[in-house]
Amino acid sequence: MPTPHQIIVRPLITEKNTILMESNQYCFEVLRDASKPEIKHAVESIFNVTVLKVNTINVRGKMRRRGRESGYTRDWKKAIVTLIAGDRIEIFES
Amino acid sequence: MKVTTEKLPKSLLALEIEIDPDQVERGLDKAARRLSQKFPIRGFRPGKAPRSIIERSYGRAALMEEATDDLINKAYRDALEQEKIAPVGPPNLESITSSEPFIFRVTVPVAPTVTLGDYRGIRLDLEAASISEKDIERELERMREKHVVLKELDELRPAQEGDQISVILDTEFEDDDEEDEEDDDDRDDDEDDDLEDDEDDADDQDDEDDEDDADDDEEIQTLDLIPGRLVEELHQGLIGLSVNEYTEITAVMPDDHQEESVRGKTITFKVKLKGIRERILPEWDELPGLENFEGSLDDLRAKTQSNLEQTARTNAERTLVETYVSQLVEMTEFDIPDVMVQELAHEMLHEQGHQFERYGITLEQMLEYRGQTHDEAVEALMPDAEQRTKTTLALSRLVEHEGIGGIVPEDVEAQIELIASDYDEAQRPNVINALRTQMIHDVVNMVIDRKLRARIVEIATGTAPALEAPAAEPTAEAPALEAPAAEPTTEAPAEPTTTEKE
Repeated sequence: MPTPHQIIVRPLITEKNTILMESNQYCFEVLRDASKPEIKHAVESIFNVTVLKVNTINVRGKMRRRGRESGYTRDWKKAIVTLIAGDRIEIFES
Repeated sequence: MKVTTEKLPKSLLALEIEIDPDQVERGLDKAARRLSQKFPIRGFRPGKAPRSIIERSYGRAALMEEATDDLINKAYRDALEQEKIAPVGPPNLESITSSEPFIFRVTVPVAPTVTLGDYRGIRLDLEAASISEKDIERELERMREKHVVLKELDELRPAQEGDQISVILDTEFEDDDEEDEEDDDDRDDDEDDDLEDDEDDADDQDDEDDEDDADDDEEIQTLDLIPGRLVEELHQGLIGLSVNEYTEITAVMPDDHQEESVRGKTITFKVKLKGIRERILPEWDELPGLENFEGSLDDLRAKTQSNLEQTARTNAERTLVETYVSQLVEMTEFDIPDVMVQELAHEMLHEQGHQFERYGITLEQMLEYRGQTHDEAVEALMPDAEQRTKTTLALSRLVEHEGIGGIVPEDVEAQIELIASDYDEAQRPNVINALRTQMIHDVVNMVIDRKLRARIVEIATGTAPALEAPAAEPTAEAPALEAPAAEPTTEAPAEPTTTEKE
């Protein structure tokens, strides 16, 4: 059973996610095998907030070439976590 | 914004400016956008990252550094406006006292203080040279000379008084003492060479063709055989000389010769006469007609006398004004910021550069030729620039104090008419148009200059009218040249003053 810190790999801070933060949604890269309830539990325990909803996306790796060789970057999982109104995650703020 | 001002020597003003925190925040926001534009953050398009992210990525210090220039520039401009300060040069940032709250200190050069002194007490004599009958005769003679007609001789004859002759002239100095001889060794050598050439010419006199070839190389000079024009011995020696005749004339140069180095020296002139032309002067009664003068010779004489008197007076006035200005500058106290003099020195160097550019020489080439750097050239011009700045400031203060800076349109129109009267009827409308538009500033300056000169003459000769308003202490912040200050203000604030504007 992975720990909450193993489930939440890193926060995703991008221009698009900054816009999502206005609707109280935060994005993370998460463990590929993690389920939505596991993600919900991990976020709640790490950041001490209440999660309303979790959406996940399996992001396919992109094709990369190096000369004649070609391959793929790794596949990964993105989670968009919606918090209840009034909750915030400081790490994204500053 | 809180501004504290403090008066420093050399017309410098120190400003301590505290910027409001919300203004600092706005500045930091702008700086953050610029920073993220220059150094994009992964996940954000350039310039789109929020300030919190940038602050976390690059640190507040970097943000502050980026914001400082803008914050200071804007706050400085606002402070000038708030305190109604008109700087005369660029400011100098002394220090950033603290960043939170943001306080910085700048020094700014302001219009210098000019204390005129008792300029109305300067007395000078207006000494116009008196015009004698001899001066008038000389002037008329000069006019007559302008209309001389040169005529080739019908029959060859020796040179006589009044002729114009062409000669090959060589001169040789005879040094009086040994010391001079040593000093002039090189020149003597050259002269010896010339002498040998002449001797060779004399030997070849039989062969006329050769002689002509040799003469072609020599420079032919033209001399007028008029009493007083040449050294007396030379003048007498040339009279009676025939074409192609060679002679040597020894003369002692007069003690009042215009060339100081030859005064009292003995010179041998080696002369070969190449040609004679008769100078036919017009009859005296023809002179008014030739000069396009309507009237008799006596009228022309009267007009000449009045012109000469006018010229003498103008020259005397010019000398008086120059002397007055130098005395005025000497008695005036100035507190000029260095930057003002430096700027003028730079301007003067560029003026020199423009003058050389007319001959196809760039400023850089000129400096290279002189073996000077740009800074050295500016430094060399500093004394002149300082003198010019002082003169300009003292005179502009005098213009203001005497109340002659106010120009009415009639003055300007009169000046335009005066300038236009020197032009042909056909050109006049264009000239007047140009004077009224593009050159109006020059015309106004001419009017002020004329009034100023006239007033200086009046002051120096004790005929100036009393000042309308009783003169307060003639001390003031020097005005901008075109816009005299309204009131002569005096003392600078002894203590730093602080003002605040929300």
